[in-house]
This record gives sequence, structure tokens and C-alpha cells, in this order.
Amino acid sequence: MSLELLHLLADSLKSLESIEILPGSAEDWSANPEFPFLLSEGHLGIPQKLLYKLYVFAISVLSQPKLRITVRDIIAATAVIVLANPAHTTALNTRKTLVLSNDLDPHNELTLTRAAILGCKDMSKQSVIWHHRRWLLQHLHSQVRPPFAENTNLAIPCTTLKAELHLIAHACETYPRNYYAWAHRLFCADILSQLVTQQVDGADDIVREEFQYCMKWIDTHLSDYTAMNYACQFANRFPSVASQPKSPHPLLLQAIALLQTYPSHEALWMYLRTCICIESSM
Amino acid sequence: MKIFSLTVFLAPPSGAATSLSTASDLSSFSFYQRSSVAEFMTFFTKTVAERTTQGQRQSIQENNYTAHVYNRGGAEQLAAVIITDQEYPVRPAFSLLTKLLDDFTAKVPQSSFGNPSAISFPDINTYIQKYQDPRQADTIMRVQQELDETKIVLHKTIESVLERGEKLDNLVDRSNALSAQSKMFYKTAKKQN
Amino acid sequence: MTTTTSELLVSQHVAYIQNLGKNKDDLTYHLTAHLRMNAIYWGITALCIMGHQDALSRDEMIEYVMSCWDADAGGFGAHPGHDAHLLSTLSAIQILITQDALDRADIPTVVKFILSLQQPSGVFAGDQWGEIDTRFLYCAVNALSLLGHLSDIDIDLTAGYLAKCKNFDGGFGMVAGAESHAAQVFVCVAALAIMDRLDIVDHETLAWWLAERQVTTGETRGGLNGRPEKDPDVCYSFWVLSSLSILKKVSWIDADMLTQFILSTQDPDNGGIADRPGNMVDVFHTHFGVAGLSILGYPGLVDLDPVYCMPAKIIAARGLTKDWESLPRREAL
Ligand SMILES: CC(C)=CCC/C(C)=C/CC/C(C)=C/CC/C(C)=C/COP(=O)(O)OP(=O)(O)O
Repeated sequence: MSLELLHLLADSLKSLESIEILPGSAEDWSANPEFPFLLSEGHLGIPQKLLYKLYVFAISVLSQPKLRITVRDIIAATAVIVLANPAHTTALNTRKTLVLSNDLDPHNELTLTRAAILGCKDMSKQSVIWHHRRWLLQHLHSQVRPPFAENTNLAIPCTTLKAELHLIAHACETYPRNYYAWAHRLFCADILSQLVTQQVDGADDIVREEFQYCMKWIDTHLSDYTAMNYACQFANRFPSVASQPKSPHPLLLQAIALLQTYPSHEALWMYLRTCICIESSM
Repeated sequence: MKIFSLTVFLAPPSGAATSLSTASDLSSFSFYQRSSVAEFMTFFTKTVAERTTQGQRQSIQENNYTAHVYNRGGAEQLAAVIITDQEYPVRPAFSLLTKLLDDFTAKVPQSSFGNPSAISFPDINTYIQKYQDPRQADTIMRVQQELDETKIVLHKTIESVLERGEKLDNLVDRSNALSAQSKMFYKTAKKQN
Repeated sequence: MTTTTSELLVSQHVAYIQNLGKNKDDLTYHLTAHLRMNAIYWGITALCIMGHQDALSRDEMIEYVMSCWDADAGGFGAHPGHDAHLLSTLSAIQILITQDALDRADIPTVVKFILSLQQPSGVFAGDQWGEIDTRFLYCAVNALSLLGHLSDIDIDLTAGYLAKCKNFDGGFGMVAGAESHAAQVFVCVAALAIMDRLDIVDHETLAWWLAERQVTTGETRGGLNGRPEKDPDVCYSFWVLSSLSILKKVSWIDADMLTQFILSTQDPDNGGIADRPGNMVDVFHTHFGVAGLSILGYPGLVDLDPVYCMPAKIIAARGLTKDWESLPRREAL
């Protein structure tokens, strides 16, 4: 393994659509020893065996005395560590430190984690990866600086929020019932609620779209109580989504309708119960 | 809940099944996986179509996928296969297959079955989109009361529809329709299960 | 690969735990570095429950724990050079207490580190970067209690956050509003037990939800899942049973069926327990499988304290035992 190869990979990680880990070794995929990765239409493929070798090498790079490694080395090594092992909290922390010292562009970091979430299921399941994104969003859009406890009062543009919701939707397609992705969505709903309070242009539209999205998702995911829980939480935060105040809540009607067709789903019965509890608490 | 692919086959009682029309939705798979998944869907679909006798309806689970097969037989010797995830309900899947075959027979003349590449049946793409929500199939179901769910055989793995001694691993190994890379994806997916 | 193992293979599991971490060149060793401190805690606790505490070297273990001290933060990391985190700090304290070596730790500094992570809402962040989760709240409350510093936090504030995480099904999630999940239920219920605030729990509703985690049909029958319509996994044997034990309702689970499920996930050749039958074993599932069996009264095992997830005797010696009830230890299967 060489530092050149580590940097070659790290340099290829800019502005990607997706990053994927491919089974097998470099020889199984690429005939070009100069560039043992795959790159097509902005999609990067990294042969798994090669990535693991680079991972072990990256760890050895970081364990050298600080004076012998450059910031560029640290950026490359931590990127490889996170790709191979997305739960490596210390590598993610190091990258946050680099953002704070202006050595790493937070926008690029959001693009990188987005591409990795879109290509690797393992990435999309990690709580620390979703937290890393929240931290970056807060860093970019919040006045409140350290101690960085999760706060949702962000001056975030509607387009950014929409893109985040889109990313989460994809993560829930590749790994069903993705707990941390839905929890991240809840965080987005809290940001949205702040935007609505501040009467930000376009925020009301997102509320409507988001509610539609939830109902449609539930129609096609009958055992997904995670989504049903989210929909109920969302309805609680945005009472306006129930169009007629006097008639039953649309979620309650949905639960009843679905149960009539699919009575064997445990999740739907729980959905019905939660809707009833919400209805009576409103 | 998802429909991944939908295929109409010409399935003579003995011998190979020929795909006459097919549609797939692989948008939930990652970029480099997609072509391998497509190869596997084709492989899986054809294998189960060939192992379903005329007049039979069966469902075969493999990993997180379920293939529902209806071999209608009859003069046209047609069969249809739908591949869904395990959440997609059984009844709408079979209603959809019946409707698909009726529609196909009505729109595509039997004389063209000999030259599948010339067959034009764009409706199959509409089917795969529309019925992603299985409640859309409710309307069909009301028309087709005759479907008796108890007659549908459910297999927990593909091995149970293979012949004695036949192994999926061997079939995959021997298949020319699967690329080396697809076989690698198959092996990794197996290890993770 | 279905094994018809009908009893706990203690000697194989002891050997399996002893062999962990022996091969430091192994890729898996590097890929699990961020979990090392937890892994040692799982290993030693499982050994204690099986009555083989001495199977691992005490001195080596203590030295390893101390080599993970992160002096900048004032807490323990998971591996030398890794940043301090509440997850690894709790494990470090649990290991030191199990090995009767708490005097090695700089307790005032650790306490300060833990206290610094509490947020105005009452929840705890896992480290200085601010990820919040009821998991971290439990780690903080458990560690502070073990260190005799529980009174340093505002109990009403802390328990108040957990009250906000309670859902209509009686369960708890990772943050307020998140779906109920058996592992999150455990951390919330155990934290409330430590703070003597179980009044916040709807005992009947929650116990009902927990009992429904048992899957009663199919190949994995008997096993427990973490949430409705998901696959069972051996680790939920602990998360669900310990919660039920705190609610004194372990009998709401079919113990025989669950015991069979756990036993069927053992690797009879090389030891260790997996999440499901036929899968690869790991030390996490080995520990939580053994812990679950202990709560079920499996013969020959040592009692486990479900609140702190440590040998019951150690917790009793510190005067911390809460009012819980596991199934009585059986003489034979
Ligand atoms: C036992 C002691 C002393 C400490 C442990 C305290 C901790 C860290 C508890 C947390 C345990 C845990 C496993 C949390 C994960 C919860 C969660 C949201 C899991 C979702 O993961 P999936 O992979 O989707 O699992 P399921 O499919 O089973 O839901």
C-alpha cells in the first residue's frame, strides 16, 4: 500500500453522485492498475479488498507522530476509514475538527456523506453518520456555536431541507425500517416547524408535500410502523395537515381503510391505536 | 413494498421458457449493482417459470425476494412471473398476473410469439408502475373472485422447486447468463445472510 | 446448518472469548477497534455469568483499559488513540469495578466529563460533538450511580426527558418522538429504575408491548424482535427480558421457547452465539445471549443484575440493587 494510492482515492471522492463498495478485489473490476477503481457518470466503485487494505494502511498513517503527517494525509486517511468503517466515531470527529479549522469544506463533506449513504447500505444505517450530517448542517446554518447540542433552529434554505428529505427517502428504500434515517427525518420535521413559525417562503409547501409523501409511503409499506410513527409525529407538529377540523384525521381514515384490506399486519393495528390516541389528545 | 420485475413467458411443457415481454424497476439498487440485479432477476424469473407446470400457481421466496408464478398453459402456453419484496401481498400479485396475461393475449397475436424481439407491449411498463400500490389491484380482485389462495403453493426457498440434488449455487455457477461480477455480488449477498 | 444443540456450551464459549483479540493482524480486529472497550466488557461479563471470570488475564485487561484514557477529554475511548465517549467510558468503569480496580480511575475527572455532557433538556450527548440519544443518558446515569455520584445530576430534569420519549404503546425511543424500540426501552427503563422513577412507566402497557416481541411462528420461533414485524435477534433476549425483569413480568414470555431459540444460535464447533441460527457469531451476541439465559433462570449460570447488566453480587456489594425479579434459578433443564 502506498500514500499515493490513498491520495488517489481521496482525490476521487469529490462531487460524486454515489460511492459503492464492490465485492472482490481490484483485478476483478479494473484492468487499469493506475486507477484500480471504477468511475462512471459520477458513480465511484471501490473494490472491497482494496478498500480494506487501504483502511489498515490509513490507520497506520494516522498513528505516526503528528509532525510527520500533513493535513492532506489526515483528510485522506479519515475518508478511507469512514468509507470502510462508517461507525468509526473518532475518524468522523477528526473531520469535524478539520471543518472547524477551515481545512475541510463542510459543503464537500455533506456531498461526500450523501454519496456514501446513497451507495452503501451500511453507511445509511449508522447513527453517527446521520449525526455527522446534522452537525454539518448546524455548523453551516446556525448561529449557536459550541457546545453543539442538537438544535433545530436553523436558517436553512427550503431547497436544502428538501434535498435532505430526499436523501432520507432513498436510505429507507435500500434499508427498510431504517431507524436512524427516520429519526433524522424527525429532526428535519423539527427544523421545518421552525421555518413555518418564521413564515419562511415555501415552508408551507414542504409541509403539504411531506404529509402526502407519508401517506403514500404507508400505502405501499404496510409493515412499516416506523413510517406510521413518523406520520403521527408529523401530524402532531403540523395540525394544519388535517384539512377539516371536525372530521376524522386523514391518518385515522387511512389506518381504517388499510386494515379493512390487510387485517393481518401488526403494524397497521398499532397505527390505528396511535391515530386514536393522537385524535383524542388533540 | 415493491415490485421489481414483471415478465410474460412462452412456456411450453417441456423445454426452455422464452421471455416475450418484460419490465423492471431497479431504481432502489445502487448504480453498480443494478446490472447484476437485472441479470439475477432474469435468471430467477426464467428458472421458476420453467419449473411451474401448466395450470399451476406458486410463490417462491429467495432471500428478501418473492417470485409469484402463474403458468396459464392453454393454447397460447403463456406464463407470467412477478418478482416483489416479501411485503407485497400475495393476492394482488396473482390478480395482476392474470390480468396481465389476459391483456397480453388480447393485444399480442400468437403468431408473433416466434419472434419475441418484434413484440410491442408497452402496457407492461404501466402495470409495473401502477401496481406498486397493491390496492390498485383491489379493483381487479373484485372482478376475479375465483382466485383460491389455498391452492397457491408457497416455497420458502428456490431449492424446493429445483429437482432433487440440484443446488442453486451450482445453477448460478454454471449459468452463462450471469457475468463473473454478478456471481461475486451473489456470493457476498449470501455471506451476509 | 441447523444445530440441535440442547444445552449451553459453556466451555466452547469460554474458549471463544479467550481467543478474541488474539489475532491482532486480522482485518476484523481493525474493523472492530471502535468497539473494543465494549467488547471487553461483554466478554468479561459473559465469563462472569458463566462462572469463569478468571479465563482472561486481569492485569492485561486493566492495563488495556487504562491505555484508552483520553486525558484531553477526561474520559475513556474505545481503543488507544480513540476519542472519549460515554459508551466506552461506561464499559471502562464496569470493567474496572468487575475487576475490583476502580482505584485506578481518576473518578473526579470522569464525573466531570459525564456531567459536562448533559444538555438543557436533560438528555446526554455521547461526547463533546453533541449526538444525543437515550442510550447515552443511560450510560451517564449508570456510570454516575456506579461511581456514587448520582446525586450530582438533577433527577427531575433527567427523568423528565425520558418521560417525553414515552410513546402511546408504552415504549420509548432514541429521542422524543422516535419509534419505540426494545433496546431503547431497556435503556430508558433501566435509567428510570436507577433514578427510582419507575412511576413514569406505564407498567401494563409497556409489558404488553414487550411480551408481543416474542415471535411464535416460523423458523425463528421463540426469539424476540426489537420492534413489530422485524426479525428476531438474540440480543433482544436481554433488552426485552431485563426490561420485563425490572417490571417483574418475565413470566409474560414463553421461557422454554426463548431458551431453545438462544441455544439454537450457538456455534457448536468454535463457540460463540450469533444473532440468528446459522449466522456468524460475535461477542456482542454471545454476551447478550448468555445474559438472557441467566434472567431465564438457566441452570448453572450466575445471577445477572438486569439494571446495570453486571453480576448481581457486585451490584449488591455496592448497595445499589433495585427491586427487580428474574426467573428463579433452575436445578436442571
Ligand atoms: C448493557 C449496557 C450496560 C450498556 C448498553 C447501553 C446501550 C448502548 C444500549 C443500546 C443497544 C442497542 C442495540 C441500540 C440500538 C437500537 C436501535 C435503534 C437499533 C436499530 O437497528 P436495526 O439494525 O434496524 O435493528 P432491528 O431491525 O432489530 O430493529
